[in-house]
Amino acid sequence: MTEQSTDVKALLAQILRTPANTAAFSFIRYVGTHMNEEQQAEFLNGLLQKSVESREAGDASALWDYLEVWEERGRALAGARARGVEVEGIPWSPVATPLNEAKFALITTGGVYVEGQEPYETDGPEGLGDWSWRAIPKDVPRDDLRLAHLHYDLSGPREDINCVFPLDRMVELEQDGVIGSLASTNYSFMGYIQRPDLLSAETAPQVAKRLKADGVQAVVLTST
Amino acid sequence: MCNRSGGLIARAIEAEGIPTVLVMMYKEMAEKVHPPRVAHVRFPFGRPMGEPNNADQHRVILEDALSVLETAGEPGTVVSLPYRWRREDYKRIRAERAVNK
Repeated sequence: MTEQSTDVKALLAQILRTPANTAAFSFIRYVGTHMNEEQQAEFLNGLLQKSVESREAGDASALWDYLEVWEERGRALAGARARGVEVEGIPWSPVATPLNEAKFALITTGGVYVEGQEPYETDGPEGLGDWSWRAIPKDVPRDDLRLAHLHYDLSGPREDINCVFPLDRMVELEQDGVIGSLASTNYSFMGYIQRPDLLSAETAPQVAKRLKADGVQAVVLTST
Repeated sequence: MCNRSGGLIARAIEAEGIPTVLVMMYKEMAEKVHPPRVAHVRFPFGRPMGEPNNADQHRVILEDALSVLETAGEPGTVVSLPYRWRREDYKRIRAERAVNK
């Protein structure tokens, strides 16, 4: 690599640097981290064109569309590299109870716990994360909910837990008769887990068995 | 990572005989871990229901997730929801739904 191309690379990296771990930049940052210099130059040139076009049109929607197209491209590149897990087949349980009669539970990977419970090991001593779960009561005072997670922007759920763990919305769906009921016990995990084998073999089945024992008939899961 | 974990949890619950729907933003991860039913949102990481304090937005996403739960006909169904973050009038969407009921 010539000295000049190293400089260009460094310059592009500098221009495309984004604030760490903010929701707003969570996909567009992949332009800087997962694309080559040609793609980065194409993105920046398009950004210039669309900015001026938007000003002339008096409407920013073309610019916003443009950002979303590149977010999708970045996410697709990152997704192609992200490590999955070997799985076999897809488990399937048909919906047997009409939703407006069914008992639901809500589960998230957002790292929610209740004041007094042990927080998650966000990265853990060996960087393996934490595959344990916490039971979250339906009627927990919302001010007692806490979050432990280093891998997404917690400012949103700290302001309103429902954008990650929509307990209040599920209670409203129950009151409106859209779902039969919400279980008195719901669950959270902290999704940064580098031992997916133990999640799949141990802790997720523990929660599944508890849900079954509780008579839960359908589950809404939210991922972060 | 969170989206991978969500998929694996959904699979474990489904294997216990309980139907699930997973709201996730990382569609590529759905293609790797194959959760039974996915409502895919084009929202940032960490905002599966949308913005804080936008109850109408949360409600629209949850109702759509329930619809995926109810209508998905085969294992591995992924439905991409059409909403563009804060560029929709979620209050109006809910009002229209109430009329069409």
